[in-house]
Amino acid sequence: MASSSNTEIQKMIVLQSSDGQIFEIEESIASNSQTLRNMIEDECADNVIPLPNVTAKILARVIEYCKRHTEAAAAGDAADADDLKKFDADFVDPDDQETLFDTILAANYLNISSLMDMLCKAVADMLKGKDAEAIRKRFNIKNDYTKEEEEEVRKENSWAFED
Amino acid sequence: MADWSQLPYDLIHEVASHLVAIEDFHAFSAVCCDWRSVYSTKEWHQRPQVPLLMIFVPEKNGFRNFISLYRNKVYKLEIPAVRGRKTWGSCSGWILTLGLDLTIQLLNPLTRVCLSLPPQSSLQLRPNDARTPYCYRVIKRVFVFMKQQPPPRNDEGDSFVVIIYGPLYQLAVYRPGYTSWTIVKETATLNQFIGVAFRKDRIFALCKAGSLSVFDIDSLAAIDFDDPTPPENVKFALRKGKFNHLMLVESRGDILIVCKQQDSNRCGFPVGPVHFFVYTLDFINKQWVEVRDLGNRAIFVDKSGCVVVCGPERFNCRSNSVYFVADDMKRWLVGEVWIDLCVYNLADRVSEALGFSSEIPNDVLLPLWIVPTLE
Repeated sequence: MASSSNTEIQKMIVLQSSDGQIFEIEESIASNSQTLRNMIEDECADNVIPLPNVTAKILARVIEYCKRHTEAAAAGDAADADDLKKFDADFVDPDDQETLFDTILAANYLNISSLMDMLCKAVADMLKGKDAEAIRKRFNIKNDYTKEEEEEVRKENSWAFED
Repeated sequence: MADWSQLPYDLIHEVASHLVAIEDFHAFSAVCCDWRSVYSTKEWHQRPQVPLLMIFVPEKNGFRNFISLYRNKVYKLEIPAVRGRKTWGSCSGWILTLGLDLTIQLLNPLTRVCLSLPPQSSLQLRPNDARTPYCYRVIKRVFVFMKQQPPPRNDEGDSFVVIIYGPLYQLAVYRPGYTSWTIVKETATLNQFIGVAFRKDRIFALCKAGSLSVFDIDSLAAIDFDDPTPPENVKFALRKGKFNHLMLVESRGDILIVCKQQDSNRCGFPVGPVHFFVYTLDFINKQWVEVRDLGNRAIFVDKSGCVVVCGPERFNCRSNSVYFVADDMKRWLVGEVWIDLCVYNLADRVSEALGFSSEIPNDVLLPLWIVPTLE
């Protein structure tokens, strides 16, 4: 149900996740995504929009984020700022990297700038204070430098390089 | 399993843009080849950093240790460019070095970038001052400024160097492209300068008499300036000849004097607790006003001056505080030498030792603050 004061009937946008699940959302909520907004303006949003890169689990979370933020924006001063802050804080689980990774990619694909910003900041916070090896361990990243390349890196940033 | 090294280029840059400390940025760009693209393209917006404390290593010529307050660790580096040369800090990312041949270089000890500056001979010294050993004591203090704050890029073209030199403590300026040092001709009474700051295209210089002189950066002409009376603590330090207790510095458009206060015993050695007083110049009423609360700023003091950093908490440093190197006279007397990095809280006026004394040798060469930069 639309909580905004305008009496226009909201157009419903239909999305399909990569695993076939259907999601119907109001246009106002879909508009958080620049990608979807472009499609709506180009009038390509009348049918089901497939999202081959986003699973149902992730799409549901992203939609929840957009819903909460759209509702808060519509309520203006009456919005519960603390409630929204708590939602955002709980949104990122630093221990569930798989979900975090998939959600960042989804936010990027759908081009939801506020969500991308929040998630990238969360990742940066997880990196702060760590040296390169600790970052690799945390995020399970393979060190793909050759011996020569690593020497070059060491020379370039040598003062901050771990020994 | 999430493959973070496969993060799209844009997202790698976006994550990096949220990193504040240069050490984090270096770690980030050393993780894997894809993440290194952020470093190679140099698109990272560099914010002003908390400085590292550079310590001289007595037994090892050409080696320096750097204490990082952000990471609470010590980096040990070999810096060939300082071997056999006398060095001065400038409370920036640069140190000035003077060779036995009296050539002058500007060195970034972290990135190793080394620039040649005009030799000391271009300072038009009197014959006496050009002779050994006086020739090695000509330069008194060094200051490096960026003409534009914040700098558009880390461009050498925006930096310039001001030195206090000679027995008359005059000012000379170097800007990129100069083939010799340009002496600032003092038209008023002969002032002997002890500190320099830069604000909005003007050089501010504090002299031994406590007055402030102002010069235009381009013409180097003196600008008429209603001189404010120095605060009592500053006057006291000047009367006692404690010129290295006074530091003039610019921070966010303010001109500040940082005044260190510590008693001395009869032999002139410092004893007792250290206190700091900070004054800001009220440009409208032309007077110095004491700053009781620095707010979200920290000051880092060494023998060449000081660095002011906003938002120090992002670097694990404290706000409204002054970081300085102190030695404990009592321990000198019993044969046990103790020098430590300390932090003074302006609110409760108390110092706390930070526990780095094992890293700082009991050397006559005092440590210097070096502000890390990418280039």
